[in-house]
Amino acid sequence: MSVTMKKYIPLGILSFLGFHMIAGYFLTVPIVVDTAREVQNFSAIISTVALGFGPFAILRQHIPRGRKGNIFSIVLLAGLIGMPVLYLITGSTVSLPYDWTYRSTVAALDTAIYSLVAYSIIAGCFRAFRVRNIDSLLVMGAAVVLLLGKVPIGGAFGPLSDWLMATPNTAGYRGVQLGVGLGLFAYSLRILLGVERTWLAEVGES
Amino acid sequence: MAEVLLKLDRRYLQLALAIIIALPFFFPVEFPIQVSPETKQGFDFIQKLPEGSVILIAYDASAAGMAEVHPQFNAMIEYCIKRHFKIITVSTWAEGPMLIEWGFRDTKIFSRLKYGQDFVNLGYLSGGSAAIMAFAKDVHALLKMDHYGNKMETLPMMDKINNAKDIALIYDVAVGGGFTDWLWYVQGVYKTPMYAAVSAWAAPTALPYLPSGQIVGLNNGLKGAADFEKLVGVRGFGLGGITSLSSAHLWAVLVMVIGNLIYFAGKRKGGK
Repeated sequence: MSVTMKKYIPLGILSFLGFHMIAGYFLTVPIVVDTAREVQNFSAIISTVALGFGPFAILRQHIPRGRKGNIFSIVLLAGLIGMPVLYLITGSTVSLPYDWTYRSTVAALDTAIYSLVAYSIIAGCFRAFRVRNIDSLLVMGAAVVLLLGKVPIGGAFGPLSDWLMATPNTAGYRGVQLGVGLGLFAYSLRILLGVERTWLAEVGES
Repeated sequence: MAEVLLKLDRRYLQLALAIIIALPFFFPVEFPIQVSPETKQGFDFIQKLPEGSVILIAYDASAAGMAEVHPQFNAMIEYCIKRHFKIITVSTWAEGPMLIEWGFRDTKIFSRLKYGQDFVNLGYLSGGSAAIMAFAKDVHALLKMDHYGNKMETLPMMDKINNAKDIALIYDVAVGGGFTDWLWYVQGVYKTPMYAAVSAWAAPTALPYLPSGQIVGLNNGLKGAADFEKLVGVRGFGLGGITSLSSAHLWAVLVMVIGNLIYFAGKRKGGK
């Protein structure tokens, strides 16, 4: 395949669609607005199609081939195939068998894993919050105020924790957001203008 | 004492945490709740909405974070029923529609409201931010049917809803930073008021949008759920679980103290 096909045509499509979306946002010309909307609808459709391809990629990767750790692949495939089959049999996601299976497997495992964060936090509280100097004292002080101020048991810390969240936290986060936003804008512009080509991998050089 | 502390295994502290979280469910103790200003601000806003307003509830969460955000969803449904609001539910997470169904069951919505006239479940919106943009621009161009396979034209409530401008409030129930998609691409463009009901770890990222007026209110995790339930006048898992959360936070502070006692005891003995 020629470099034109591998490099310049994808770059041209990307730039055209990117600037088209920008025009669709800022202009009120009906043809631009309507076509931009169609492109957005298409991207939703493409993503749905990609979602449909996902299971095939998982199947290819996890079909047992006699290696170590096959049991995990089997469990994964049982879930991947079992849930849609259950849906096809019952015809609904609100049916008792489907709901029970989801609740007893996916939901239970999901919530259990997420809740492990609490144990990591306790380990972190035990090891990390040591008053070694004035900076660590300030960090620990802020942590104590926020931990107590955000629950009814530490109501007295409420106003101070609200202030910590509304003033230092907001100020810091806005700075970060501004930096990220400007960086994202510059990066997007570089992609649209074809300066940034990392998304093309190395096809251009081949 | 110092010797005992120095040899303390952190797993005992974690075991204690599990017990501390579980105990209040068996022996409930209630603490007076001070409603957070960000939740009060949001509640004051929705109180002013007229009867019949259309509320879009986006459930952008999976089962993992539902302990924090599901009570916020249920409380909002209860509130919408009380105020005779029209409800549209949608989710940009694959598990969302399942959890919406649980919320409908918890609040017994089907026995209290008429589907298609008072509420509609549009299900899973695949495509992330692009789908949200398309949804906000023209609902009917993007979606041809609801979650249950009903055609959009058979849902009388959807006749008057074409784009985000026809929605009085977006109430985004989100674990993590997913609320920013609705904020940037819908609130920012169509000026539809938005209320963020997020998990506690996402609250610091949502809070800066409150004073700027980009969100009208913020529910912060389980505490936000308890606050909202208190304001709405329903008792769900928010108020039910807040004592566990209080105890766990108090335990975390005590663990910090224990950790420091060990640190200083070790230092006195000449360790690092």
